[in-house]
Order: sequence, then structure tokens, then C-alpha cells
Amino acid sequence: MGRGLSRRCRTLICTVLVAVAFLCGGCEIVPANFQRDATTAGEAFAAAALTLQDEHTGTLTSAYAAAAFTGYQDELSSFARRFPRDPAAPSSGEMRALLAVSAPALRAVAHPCLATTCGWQAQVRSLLRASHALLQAGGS
Amino acid sequence: MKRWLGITLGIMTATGGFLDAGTIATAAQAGAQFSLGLVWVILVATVALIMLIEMSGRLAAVAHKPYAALVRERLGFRFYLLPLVSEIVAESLLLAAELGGVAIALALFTGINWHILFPVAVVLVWLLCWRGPFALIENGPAILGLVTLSFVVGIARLGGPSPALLTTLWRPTIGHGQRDTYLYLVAATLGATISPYLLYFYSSGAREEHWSVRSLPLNRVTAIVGMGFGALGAIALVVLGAMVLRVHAIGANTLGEVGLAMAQPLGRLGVLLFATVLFATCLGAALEVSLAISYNIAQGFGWEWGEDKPPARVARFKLVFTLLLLVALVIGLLGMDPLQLALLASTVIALFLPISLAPLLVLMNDRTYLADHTNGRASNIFLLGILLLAFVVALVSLPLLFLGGGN
Repeated sequence: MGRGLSRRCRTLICTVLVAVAFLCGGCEIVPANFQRDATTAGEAFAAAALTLQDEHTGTLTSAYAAAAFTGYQDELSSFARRFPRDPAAPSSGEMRALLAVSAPALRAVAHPCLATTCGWQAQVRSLLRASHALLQAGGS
Repeated sequence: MKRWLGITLGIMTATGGFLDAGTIATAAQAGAQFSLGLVWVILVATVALIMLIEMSGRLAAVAHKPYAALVRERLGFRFYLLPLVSEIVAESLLLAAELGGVAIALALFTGINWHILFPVAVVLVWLLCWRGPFALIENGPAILGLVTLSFVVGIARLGGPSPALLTTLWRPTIGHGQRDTYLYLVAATLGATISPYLLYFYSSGAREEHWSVRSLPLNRVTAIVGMGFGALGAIALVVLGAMVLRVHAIGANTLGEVGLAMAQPLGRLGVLLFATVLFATCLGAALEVSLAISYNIAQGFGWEWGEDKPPARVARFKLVFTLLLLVALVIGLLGMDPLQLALLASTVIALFLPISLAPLLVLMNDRTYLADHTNGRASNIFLLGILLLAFVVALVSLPLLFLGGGN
């Protein structure tokens, strides 16, 4: 009985570990979708613009803004990886234009001007420009 | 009076079980993308949850045994193992997501990268589970969770929803190509709300507090007030998402941006209140998930269990959540986004929901356990309706994850 139960427990533990590993791997299994990726990135840029603006107008604490930007960086790191290789992407000309407008916005997300000395307004403008372009491309 | 303080069990269950990282994300996303068009899903989920929670509490109070022990006793060990495997898998993911939520909340206060704070969150939850008495685990997050009411204050400061916004309650604004996302959010909201671990936690909590037949009125009120409180918080977030985030084209795809909805009406205080709610709900959920699995396994295998007993006496019970937290730590250290994990966990929970809930139908009609307190015809019809709903959600959740969700 004791032996049977321990075998059963081992099988249970193995099943659980295999399933967890499979599901963790599955976090990236959602297929590429140009419209969805463009919309998600556009929304993230819009959020980053508002965060930066709110931080400099005193509506947000610096700590909150810094932590929020970590989230945008995490979210957009996957976008930067997937977007150029998206098989459902539009013509190469349109894609180049989107990547060109996204580049300064991605830089702003990676290195946001949370201090008063740097040009945060320019970053807000580039973030909003990229957001509008991507949301339009995503059909929103 | 002391007996009625037991209502905090319901608020605690709602603070961690109803409102958690997944619900906060899906509620804000629902508002940002479909205005008030998904409020009906929260209402349906709330009614279902009130019914399920009331039944699991009644079962534990009258039979003097919690849900997991009764499932094994009535349906056998093999049947008991079936939902257990699915719950361990789904709840490992969910626990990692909730711990990520705690870490993000701490990051929103301190500005420190949440990846660094993740192990701190694991240690905090482990310490509370290991040393904390049940009353502390129950009351701490429940009291902090009351800060959720600040969402309602935020809505009031914004002047309340406009008549045009209110019309989206029955006429959702579903844009071009958004239908799959809408349906995905319906399934994710139901999956994130109707989680079987709530039943295991609540029925075990009822035993920890020695509920009896005399506690049945308290059980009913607790289920309604607790889940009603959770629903109020979720609906308030939908409204804030629609009033603030939608206007700025923000999709609420990260937890940090959800808090921006509170910055507009309440400024710095608003985001700090949001971070407090996030901390309380995710901490509550992490505690509930950890303990629910430990309760489930200990009761199913016939081990001694109890949060208020010395660790040496309930070593295997304590070992289960320690191992579960280690698994969640490994998942979290892989750097996965807590929201993606929460949504994935909701999908897995939804897939196995019928298996987890079906035993309740059998148990709630067994006079051996419930004597005169078995389900009436109306309760059985409701329960069958919930099972049917769970079955439909299970069928559609995985295809919808691929088509419309998981951004």
C-alpha cells in the first residue's frame, strides 16, 4: 500500500511538473498577429506618454513612474522581437515607416526622462506619434 | 457579535479570490476596450460565486468536514485526484502571477524593479503562511482590501459615468476585429472569477472557525457581502477603465498602467491607493492559493491540517505550500509577465472547471452529510446552470486564447 501510494505520488508530481513546464513554454505560443501586436504596442506607448506627463506634472510619484516603465519595457521587448518578423505585416514600405516612428519611442521607453533636466516633452511627443501610427495600423 | 465578525472570511475570500491580479487586469482591460459592455459578465460571475461559496460554507458547517475531504470520501480517491492535478498546475501558475502582483505593488511604492522584489514577495507569503495565525491571514488582507472602496471615490471625483457611457452597459462598443477579444475577455473574466480554490479555502476557513448549523445565516450573509464587495471593486475598475484609460487609448496591458486611472481623479494619493489595493488583493490571493492547495492535499490524503496548529504537528500541510511557493519562485524567476501568467492560469482553470465543480452537485444533495440542509430545486437548477456555463467556458477558452487574447 505504502509503495503503491508513493508510486502514485511520483506519477502525480511528474505529471504536474511536465504540465507546468509545458504551460510556461506555452506563454509564447499565441500566434503572431500584426493587428493585435500593433494595437498592443500603440496602447503601451500611449500609457508611457501619459505616465511621463503625469510624473512631470506631479500627478504621479517618481517611484510609481519608474516601476510602470519597467512594465512597458517588459511588454515592448516582446514587440520589438516579434513585430519585424510578423508574417501578417503590411507592405515593406509601411512596415519601414512604422519601425521608423517606433524607434525613438522605444528609446524613450528604455531610457525615460524621469528627471527634470532632460527633454521629457520631446519624449512624450515621440511616444504619442508612435502610438497614433501603430493604433491606426492596428485598425483601432 | 464575535460570530458576525466571521464576515471578514467572506471579505478576505473576495479580496484575494474575487479581486486579484487577473481580475484587476481583465476588469481594467474590459473598461478600456469595451466601456461598460462587460459588466454583465461580472454580475453573472458574482451570482455564480455567491451560490458556490454559500454551498461550500453550508456543506462545511453542517457536515463538519471541508469540501476536499468530502469529495474524496464520497467519490473515491481516483476521482479526487482528477481535479487535484489540474488545480495544482493552474494554481502554480496563478500563484506565480499573484506573487508577481505583490512584487509589482511593492515596486510601485519603491521604484525598485519588480523582478528583484519577486523573491521578497515569496518570503513574505511563506512567512505569513508558516507563522501567521488564521485570524491574521483572514483579517489583514480583508482590512487592507477595504481600500478598494477608493475606486468608487475616484469615480465620484470624476463626476460619475456619463449617460452615453451608461448605454454601453447594454450596447457594447465592439470595434472592427475586436469580437474575438471581447469573447476572450468574457471567458477570462469568468475563469478568473469562478476559481475552485475559493471553495477549498472558504470551506476550510469555515472549519478553522468551527462553523456549525448555527452559522448558516452568517454563511449566507458572508457569501453575499463578501462577493458583493469583490464585484463592486471589479465593476468600479471597469468604470474607471472606461472613463480614463479608454480616453487616452491605453489598453491596461500592464498593472502599472491600470493605476493611471486613479491618478486622474485623486493624483498621487490615487496611485498610492491603487498600489495598496494591488498589494492587498494579490497578497490575499497568494495566501489563499497557497493555503487552498495545502488544505486540499492534506484533507484529501487524510493528513493533519490547520493554520493555527504548531508547524511540527502539521508538517506535511506546511510542506505542501512551501513546495508550491518554490515552484512559483522558479516560474517567477523565469521572468514571465504576471498578467500573462494570470490569464493563462484562468484559461487552465476554465478548462477544468466542470470537473472541479461537478462533485458539489452530488454532495449538496446527499442527506448523509447535509440532513435537512440539502439543496432545494431552485439551487440545483442554478448549480446545473453554473456547470453548463463552466462547460461552455471550458470549450471556448483555449481557442479564444489563441484568437483574441494573451497580448
